[in-house]
Order: sequence, then C-alpha cells, then structure tokens
Amino acid sequence: MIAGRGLKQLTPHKDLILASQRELSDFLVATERRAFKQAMYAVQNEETALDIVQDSMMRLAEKYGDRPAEEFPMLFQRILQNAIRDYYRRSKIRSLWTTLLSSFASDEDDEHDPLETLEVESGSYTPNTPDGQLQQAQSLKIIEQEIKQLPTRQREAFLMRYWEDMDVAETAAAMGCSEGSVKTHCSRATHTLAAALRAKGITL
Amino acid sequence: MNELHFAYKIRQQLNRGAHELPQDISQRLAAAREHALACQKVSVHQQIFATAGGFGRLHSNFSAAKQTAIAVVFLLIAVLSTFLIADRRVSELGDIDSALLADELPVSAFTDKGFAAWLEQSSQE
Repeated sequence: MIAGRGLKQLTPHKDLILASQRELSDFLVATERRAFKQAMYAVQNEETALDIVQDSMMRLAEKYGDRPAEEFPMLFQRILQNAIRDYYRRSKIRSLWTTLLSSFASDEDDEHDPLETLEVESGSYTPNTPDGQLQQAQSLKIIEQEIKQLPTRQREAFLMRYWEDMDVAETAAAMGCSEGSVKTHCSRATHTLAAALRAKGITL
Repeated sequence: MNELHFAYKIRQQLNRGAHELPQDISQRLAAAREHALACQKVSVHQQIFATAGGFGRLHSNFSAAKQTAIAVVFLLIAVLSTFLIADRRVSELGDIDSALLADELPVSAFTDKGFAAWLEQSSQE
C-alpha cells in the first residue's frame, strides 16, 4: 500500500504527459488513414501524400500538442489543407521552371508519371475477390475518382463535414471562411458527386 | 435521396477504402505517428504544477494527519477572514443608511428624477 503510493507520487507529471500523449495518439490513430486518403485525392501521389500527412502530424504535435483534444480535428485539418496548398504552390513553381528549362535539360525526374498513379490505384485493391466485392471496389474507385475531380474547396468542405464529422462551425474555422460558404461548398459538392455517379450508373 | 443520406453512403464507401489501405502505407503512417508523438509539445502549466507538486510531495515527510491539520487551519483562516470582511462591509453600509435617514433631505428625493435633474443643472451653473 505504502510502496504503491510512493510510486504514484514519484510520477505525477509523467502521468499528465502520458494522458495528453494518449489523447493525441488516439486522435491520430483514428484520423491518419482518412488524412492520407484526403491528401491522395488532392495530390494524387502516394509518396507526396505520405509526406504531407507526416509533416502535418509533426506540426500538430510540435505546435499544438498541448491543446485540448476536442480542438485536434479542426487544427489538424487546417494544417493538412495548408500543407496540401503549399505543395500545389511549390509544384506550380517547379513546373514553371521545368517548362522554362525543358529546352536545356530533358531528363528531369517527373513526379507526375501517370504510370505511377495507375499502379497505386490498382495496387490498393486485391484483384482476386468475389464478384460482389469486385463491383464494390470498382464503385469505390469511381467515387474516389469523382472526389478527386471536385474543386478543391468543395472537396475540403465535403470531406470535413461528412467524413471527418466536423460541424459547420469547425469546418468554417478550419477552412478560414464563413459558415454560409461551407454550406454552399458542401451542397455543390453533393450535387456534383450525385450527378457524376448517376451518369456513370453507380447506385449507392 | 437527400444530401445527408447521400453523404452517409459516400462516407461508408470511403471508410471502406481507408480501411483497405495497403500494409506498407499503414505501417509508414504508424511510424510517422510515433515520430510525431515523440516531439509532442506538452503544456507548460501542467508541467510546472506537476513538477511543483511532485517536488513538494517528494521533499516533505508529512503524514496524512498533519496534512489534514494544515488544511483545517487554512480553512479556518479563510472562513474567519471572509467573516471579518463581510462584517466590516455591513457596518459601512449601516453608516451610510443612518446618515441618509438622519439627513434633512427626505429619502424619496433620491428616487425623484426631477430632483436629480435639478441637482445636475444647479451644479453645472
């Protein structure tokens, strides 16, 4: 009894740190796969998506690791979307330089090799599944394809609201826009997706 | 199909997709998570309080009875000081009340709007 109390007294602040680490750990475990998929929809490259998610996790832990757990979804989404936007900006600059320099050097390593993305997508699904599962996998592929083709803001709003379970206010805070435009983005995304899926004969 | 229902269906599909991530991707995500957790910022307040508490507890050999006695003493001091402060405040209020009642001016004058306006006017002049 006494020994047990002594042990407990020795590690009070370690307990607190462990508690907040557990909260962050639980949050990341629950979110990391969706975050990776979100990044994939946006940048369409496995390596880049992994990098983006890794950086975002790091930034959340380093800068906001002491925040209450209920703020994590909003903060993490904000960091993630900023990281994706940063990547777009960098790749825009890089592609500008590539076109400028293409007359001098032709053997630049191209990150947008279409074969690479193709391989990723076919590799995500096991090929020898029963017919029903195959059909489901195909419809998932089409849904993901359509999500990739949504305008960036619409995709962000739709995924945060309906996949990340964030409410309108949280989504607006993460996106840095008004609650009204979150609702507009969401309903537009829903209409576009529904129309596209109907056109492809996908019934949910 | 309304928006929420449609979104729910899409969400189910997406969840399945996220669940079926390749092994190497989930492993790398887990590694990234561990790496991030190792660098987690921990609240400064928590650390200070926790360290102070830990220090206090480590460097004092008070028994539980002594700790209780100290707590009781602090409680008594707090109750007494509250009582004394309240008592002083009550006597101040009593002084004001008796001054008001003993004054030549009737109490009703203070609630009269016309009287207040007249006071303001005369003080401006």
